[in-house]
Amino acid sequence: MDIDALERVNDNEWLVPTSYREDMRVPVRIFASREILERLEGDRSLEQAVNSATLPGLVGHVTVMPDMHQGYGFPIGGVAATEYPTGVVSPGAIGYDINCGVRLLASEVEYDDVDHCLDELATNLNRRCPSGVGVGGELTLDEGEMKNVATDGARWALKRGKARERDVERTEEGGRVEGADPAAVGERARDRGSTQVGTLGSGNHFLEVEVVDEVFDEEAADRMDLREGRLTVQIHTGSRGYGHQICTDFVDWFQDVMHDYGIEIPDRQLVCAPMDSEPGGAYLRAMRCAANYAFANRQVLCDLARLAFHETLSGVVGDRELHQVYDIAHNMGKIERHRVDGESVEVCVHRKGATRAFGPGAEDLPEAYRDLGQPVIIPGSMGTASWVLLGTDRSMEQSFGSTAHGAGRTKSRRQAKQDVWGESLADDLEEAGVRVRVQSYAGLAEEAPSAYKDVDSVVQSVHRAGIADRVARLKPVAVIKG
Amino acid sequence: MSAFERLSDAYCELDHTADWALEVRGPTLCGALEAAARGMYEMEGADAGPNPRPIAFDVEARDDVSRLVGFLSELLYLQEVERSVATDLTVESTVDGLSVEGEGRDLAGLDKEIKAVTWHAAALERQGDEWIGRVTFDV
Repeated sequence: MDIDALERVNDNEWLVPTSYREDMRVPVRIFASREILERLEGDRSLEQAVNSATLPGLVGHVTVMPDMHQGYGFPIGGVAATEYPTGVVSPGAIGYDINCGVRLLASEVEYDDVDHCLDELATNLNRRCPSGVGVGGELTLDEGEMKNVATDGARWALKRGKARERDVERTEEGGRVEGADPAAVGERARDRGSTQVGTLGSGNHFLEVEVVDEVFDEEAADRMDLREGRLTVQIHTGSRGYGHQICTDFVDWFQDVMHDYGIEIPDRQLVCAPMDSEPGGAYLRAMRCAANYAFANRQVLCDLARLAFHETLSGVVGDRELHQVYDIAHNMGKIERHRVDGESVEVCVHRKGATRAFGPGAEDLPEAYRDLGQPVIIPGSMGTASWVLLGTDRSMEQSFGSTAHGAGRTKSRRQAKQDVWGESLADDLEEAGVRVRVQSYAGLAEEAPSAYKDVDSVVQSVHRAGIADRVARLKPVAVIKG
Repeated sequence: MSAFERLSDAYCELDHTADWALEVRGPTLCGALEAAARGMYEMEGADAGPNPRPIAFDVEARDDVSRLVGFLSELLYLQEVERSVATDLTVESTVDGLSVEGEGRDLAGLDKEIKAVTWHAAALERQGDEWIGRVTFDV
C-alpha cells in the first residue's frame, strides 16, 4: 500500500479510513514513523490489516504496531477487537503459536563478576533447556497431566515444584487463563503436546542472557529488580505443537461453518465464527488451553534456567537467584473491557504479534506493578538490544491496551539465508561479546539481525506515540537458539 | 526471478517476509499434490531414513484448496508425532477428498520446522495443461 494512501495523524500515527475499501467495517490505525513505513516496500502487512478490518463485530479500529510485517491473513503486529459475545473470534488473527510470549527474569548477578563464566553458563543453559526442531523435553505427560496443564497453566508447574508463587503472580493472567476446557481440544493436539512442555522449539524462539545496559525509569526499574550492569534472562517461546494443532483444527472446521453465519471474508485464513456460537465458543475454550500450556512451558524452562544458573555460578557469586519480572503473551485473544466511543464495552482483543500493555491502575495487574502499569517486554533481533517498557493510559485509549512485540522482520527467511552465512554470523556475534549456542546454522542465518527492523526505532515509535514508556534497555551476552 | 527460487521444475519457493511460501505444478491435481509434498520436505530439509513401511491415509476435503492444505497438514502431523517422512506417494482424488498411499520412512534429519500449513492465499487450480498450487507455511 502506498504511503500516500494513508492519512497522517502525526509523526507516529497514520490512518486508513473506511473509505479506502468498501468492505472495511472500521478504520486501520497505524503506529509507526514515516521511516518505518518507507521500509515496508514489498511487504503486504497494511493490505492484510485492511482485510482484517472486514471482520464482523469489529469495534473501534484495527491497530497496527511499528514492528508490523506480513503474516498469513492477519498482519504480525496487529490488534483487532470484536464485541463480545456477538462479534467473531478468528483463530488466524491470534496465530498458530497461541500465547507465544516472553518471560523476563532479573538477577542480582553483576556482569563484571561472572564475565569469565559466561561461556560455561551458555553451555549449561543450552544443555538444560531443550531447543531445536523435533526436540522433546524431559517430561512426558499422560492424558490426566495434559488436562491439568491445559486448565492450570503455570500453576500446574507450581504444584509440581517448578515455580514460585512470585512467578505466577507476575505472569499475565496469573499464569492461568480462566475458561479453558480440555474437552474442546482434539486428540492430535494432545499427542503433539505430550512431550513438549519445557522446550524452546525453533524458528525465532530463544533463550537469552542479557545485561541491563541503560535505565530510563529508575523507580519502575527498581520495582522490577532491574539495575544497570546486572544479568537478566529472557525466554521466548509458546504453545509448541499443542497450540499449532489447535489452531489448525479450528481454522479447518471454521472453513465449513463460517458460511452458516453469513460471513464473507477476503482471505480464507481469516475464517471466524461468532463467539456466542458453538464453534466460536469451542475455539475460545481450546485456545485458552493452549495459552495455559504456553505459560506452563515457559515456567518449566524458567526452572531449568535457574538450575543452570546455580550449577554454573555456585561458588562464584553469593546470590544467583533469578526473579520473575513478568511473563507476557503476544499471540492471544482475550475478553477485556475497553472504552469505545465513550462507552465501556466488553470485547475480544485479538493480538497477533502485539503485546498487552495495560496502563496504571488496571485491576488485572499484580499488586507490585498496579500503580506503575504493566511491564512490556520487547525482544530485539539476535545480537541487538531488548527493551522493557510500561503500558500507559494512552495505550488503553488508543490501542486496546496494546503495544509492539519485537523488532519485526524486513527480509524473507530465504533472503536472509542468501545474505548471511550462519557460521560467519555466529563468529561475528561471539566477537561482539554474544556467546552463541545454536542447533541449526541455517536457522541462525534466518534470524540474523539484518533481517529485522532496528528495534530501537520500533521502541522509539511506541514511546513517542505514548502507547508504552521506556524503562530499561538490555544488551545480549549469550543466546541459545533452536 | 527475484520473487522466487526454483527448487525443481515441479515446485519453487516464493518470497514471503515472515514465513515460507511454495508454488507447485503438476500434470494432474494429484501430481501437483505429490510435488507439494516433495517441496515441503525439501524446504524443511527433511531426510528420509531407514525402516520403510507402507502408509495409507485419507484426507477429508470440501474443495481442491482444502485437499492441498489437508494433505500437507497430515504429512506434518506424521512427521512430528510418528517421526516419519512419506515417500513414493500415490495420491487419488475421491468424492470426499483424497486417498493417499506410499511408504513411510524414519525421519533421519530435519533442518527447519514448519508449525502449520496456512490457508492464506492458498490455491490449487487447473491452468491450461497443468495444475498450479500455492501454499504458505507458518514457520
